Amino acid sequence: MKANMLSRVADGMFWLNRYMERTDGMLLTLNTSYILSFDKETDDCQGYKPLLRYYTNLTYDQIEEVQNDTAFILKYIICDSQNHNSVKNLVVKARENARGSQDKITKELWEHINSLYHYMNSPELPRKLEGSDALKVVNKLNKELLLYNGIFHVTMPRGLGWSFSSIGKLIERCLQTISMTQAYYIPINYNLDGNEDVMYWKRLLLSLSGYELYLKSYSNIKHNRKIVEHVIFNYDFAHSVIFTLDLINKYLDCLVKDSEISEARTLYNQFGRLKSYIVYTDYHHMTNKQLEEVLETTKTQLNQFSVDFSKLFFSYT
Amino acid sequence: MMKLIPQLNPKGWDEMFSNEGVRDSYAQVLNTLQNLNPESLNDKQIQASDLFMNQGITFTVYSDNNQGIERIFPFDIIPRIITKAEWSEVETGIKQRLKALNLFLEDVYNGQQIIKDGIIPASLVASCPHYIQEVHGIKVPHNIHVHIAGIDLIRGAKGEFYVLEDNLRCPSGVSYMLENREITKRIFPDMLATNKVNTVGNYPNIFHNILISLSPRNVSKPNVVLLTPGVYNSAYYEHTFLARQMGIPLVEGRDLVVNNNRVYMKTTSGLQQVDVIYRRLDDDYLDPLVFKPDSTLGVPGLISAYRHGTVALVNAVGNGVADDKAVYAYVPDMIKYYLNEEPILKNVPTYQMENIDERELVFADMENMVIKETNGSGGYGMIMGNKATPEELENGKTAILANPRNFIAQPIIQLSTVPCLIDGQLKLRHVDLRPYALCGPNGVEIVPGGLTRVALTEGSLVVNSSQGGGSKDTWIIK
Repeated sequence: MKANMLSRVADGMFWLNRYMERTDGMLLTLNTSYILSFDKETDDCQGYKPLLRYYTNLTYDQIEEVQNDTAFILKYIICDSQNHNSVKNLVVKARENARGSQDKITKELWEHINSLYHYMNSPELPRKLEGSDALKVVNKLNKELLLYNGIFHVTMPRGLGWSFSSIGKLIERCLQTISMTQAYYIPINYNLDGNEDVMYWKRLLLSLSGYELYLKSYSNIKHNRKIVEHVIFNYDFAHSVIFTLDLINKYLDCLVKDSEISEARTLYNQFGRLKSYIVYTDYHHMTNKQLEEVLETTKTQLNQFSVDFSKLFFSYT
Repeated sequence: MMKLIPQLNPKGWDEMFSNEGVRDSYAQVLNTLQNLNPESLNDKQIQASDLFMNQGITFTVYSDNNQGIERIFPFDIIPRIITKAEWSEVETGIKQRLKALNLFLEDVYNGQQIIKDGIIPASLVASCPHYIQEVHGIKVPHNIHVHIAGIDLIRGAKGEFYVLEDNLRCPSGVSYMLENREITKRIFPDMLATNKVNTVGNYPNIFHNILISLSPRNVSKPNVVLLTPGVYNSAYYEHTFLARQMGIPLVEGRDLVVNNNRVYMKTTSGLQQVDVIYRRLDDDYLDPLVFKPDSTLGVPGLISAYRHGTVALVNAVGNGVADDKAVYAYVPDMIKYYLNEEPILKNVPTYQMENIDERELVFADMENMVIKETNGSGGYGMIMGNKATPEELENGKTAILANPRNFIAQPIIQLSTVPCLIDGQLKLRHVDLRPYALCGPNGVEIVPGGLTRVALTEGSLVVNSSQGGGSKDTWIIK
């Protein structure tokens, strides 16, 4: 039987997962920074800056002003209605997309998003973030997002909906990985031969769920180049750039195979060039300048791919 | 254990209790309730509310600062029970009524024999705002105009059933009938089995089969879709629920396009022809080229495709003429005219405000009348004579005199009561019943159940959810 899906619904599923992945990544970064902020021995020159720079619209000056105000940051990131990227607003947007594609997502997934929505809108949430319960809230939200991913994997049928959702999730994850990596390489001028210790990179790796795998995979010397290898080129790391691009390729393959639209092949080739750029980059001999270029070019091209992908499959208005 | 026998209204019919005590049909339920303490009954009520909230069976109320607040439609955990004999009367009565109403719609949009024979005045039909000239002469599949109907029933002082109104356009609430049962299964798992309650769960399958049978194209798997106004519609949950239960796409107007008098949906792999549309959109919004030109909810060209017979619409366009409250008074005559039978279910006596004698009669006895707009719904624009202030009654008279065709009046009937759990106690509240009938090529099917709506305010007779009403699970017992 030939599969098909409404363009609007496919769009909804794509954005549902982009928003949920963004929420997941942001909460992981917040949790990491929050917990490490208790440890005064940690090299804390970055603090909440990567989180605030990538996930919010705050200006450079505003970030400088609030970066040590944990109470403000917790509320701003989690439940501030004025912050368009707060967890609360992202969950609202995810739920709206879930509502619009409710006949294509499972009951279990819908109920989970819905209960998360009600939790985020509970009037007592801001008060809980003021005291010692704040960590509990952050941990609970982290677990809710993990559970979302579990429910998504276990209950959702494979097919077009799965492919669109997964591509949304993976584009978002790849952009997060690139941006967070940039946030830690910019302060050291992309110095691949520098001597930053593992404590410097710990915050990045924990934000990307890649700390344990890094420790298991690499020797304890010269981290600056190894980190690049891990977060960009490691096929076994679920948040690495190459891993996410590889999976996008797989799901794109499914969509193009089923599509009767001639432009689908053009898009497929466009993505192939993007992926090849990473696959055929020699990271062992990469220069500082090349690293900066690889990250920036990949980000730009991936954003362009996302736009073209939407135009091709979701142009229903 | 709680005190369970409330004070009965001597003028009304209570479904659980008679003057001699509990009715047989409710004996087991009452026994179960008596064995529960008030706290555990309250816990079950809270559990039910949480289940509704978590499943998103809610509607949104917007406050002044545009902050949406999610609310559930109140659900009372104590079921309403209808015996097999009572249901048999309801079932045969509704089947008879729908048969006549379908014949009327086929007639009124074609030969109009019923008007020529003087059974229904031509002016009544012509003045009905929901009589759609644009679909006059259209042939609908199997001559069925009403595929799904919600017939509102009430019970009089002796328990006799009356039809209060027919809903033949986009009757809503069926998801509540199905979800109420699911909730009851969770909070009273034993009670359903011991009471031998008929299942309602096959409703989506029956309906889906009817939808498929209406396809104009002779293909093995016709494309059937559910057309919704969108996520902000108050019945959106129901639309998603039914689409999911039937496994059909839930589309909005912007997902559809008409090309060469065929309707297509925009999919990720291109346009795909649509054969049957179960639309939850009123006639006025279906096609901006024919009806409201500013409607963005509909599909330009849809009525043209419908006229060409390339797509089936469920329910058919123009059904509003048959559920107009002024036309309602003629349904018993339709039954006699088309079927040569006596109506099994009675109508509530209805006075046409266009008729001067009837109008004077009503004006003289306004306190005992309910005034309704002929094309109103949801309890809006209704005046309950016994609750209205003198000023409201005067305003009502003025409105009637300005446009008498727009109003009918009915004597206030004390709806039957069923005990509800309110503030931890059993209290009597008035109810109605909306069974859902499905008409297909093989006849009319009615799943044994329905939506019982409850007026939760003490003494109120207004059960509409838009006016603060709630609902109950409805059991038809074997």
